[in-house]
Amino acid sequence: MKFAYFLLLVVVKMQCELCEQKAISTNPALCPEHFDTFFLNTVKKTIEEYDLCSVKTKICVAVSGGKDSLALLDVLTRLGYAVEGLFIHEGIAHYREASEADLDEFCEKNTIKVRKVSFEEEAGFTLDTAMETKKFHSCTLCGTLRRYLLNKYAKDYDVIATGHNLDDEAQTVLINLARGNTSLFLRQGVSTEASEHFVRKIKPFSFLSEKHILTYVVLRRIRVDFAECPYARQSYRAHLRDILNTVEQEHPGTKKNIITTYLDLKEHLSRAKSSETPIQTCTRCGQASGEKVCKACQLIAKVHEVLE
Amino acid sequence: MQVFIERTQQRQELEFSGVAKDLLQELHIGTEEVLIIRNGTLVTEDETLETTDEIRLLSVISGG
Repeated sequence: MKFAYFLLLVVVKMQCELCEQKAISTNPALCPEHFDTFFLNTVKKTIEEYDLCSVKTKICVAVSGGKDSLALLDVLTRLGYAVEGLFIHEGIAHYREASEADLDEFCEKNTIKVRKVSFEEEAGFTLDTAMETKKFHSCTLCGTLRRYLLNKYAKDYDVIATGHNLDDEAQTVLINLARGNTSLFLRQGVSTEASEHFVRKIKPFSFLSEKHILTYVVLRRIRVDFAECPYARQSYRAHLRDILNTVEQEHPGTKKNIITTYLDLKEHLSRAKSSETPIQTCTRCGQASGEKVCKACQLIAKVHEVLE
Repeated sequence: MQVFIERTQQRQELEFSGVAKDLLQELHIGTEEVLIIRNGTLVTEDETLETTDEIRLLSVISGG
């Protein structure tokens, strides 16, 4: 009787929750067809619940050629949204080239227009060159310039969609808490507010994990490169990611709980703390800025100073 | 069993048969870190593997 029960458990564990087909995912356990439906429905629900966009919205998808951005292009296209891509080449040798090739192949096959810009053209240096000076933190420099360029080149669009997923968002909540970044903590969300100076950003994958996204990409047979950014490997985020993955393995649902609790809490907290830095125009580049000279121009000037 | 680990580009020959979860444990890889491809097909960590299988472990973690 115990053996039969054990056998039943094994069979049930591998079966789709919604039919008798074999499951190819866990949490939830779904067959390929039901997983595809789950994935699309989760994106649809996020878009509707957070009013992210409509079929009339001109969407600029921030693309890298990695699994998240290609999956995002694919899903949004399937759901009938008007998308174009914006690709930013940071100049990281032996990393960005492979994903750029995957992006080109995907966009050609699906007739999706992509604009490409680079750190080298815009700032006069690659990330690798700046990092050789050992004077800058890679993620700060890269993140600041990428956000700056996204905002600069997405002005003709209604929204910028990024492939940030549940793992990214749960990690960010914890990073900001752990580092005491209260104002950054309060600014996180499934979308940003529309404003005169900043193109609204949306994150349709906020409730889908990295594992869900890779599963989607594999099932859709989208070719992606698996390289990890060489600068990210030893980062604070990577450390926190590994801890969170260990906890999630033992306690499934942890990442989702972090982000849903955060979003609940944010509503309460944002009423209590509402100081906003007035936005002005950068005196150097004319882009939106919280200071007289924007963070991107400040960083670019510092890098050039060090390189000279 | 032939195991290819995408993240490290490592290929290993192992004597293993049993549940995929246990293989991952033996390789010190968490279930959140990989997708398991068994003989070209996506499977879950509950899958029972055979010694003759070809396994690819695709890295969930990528990008920056």
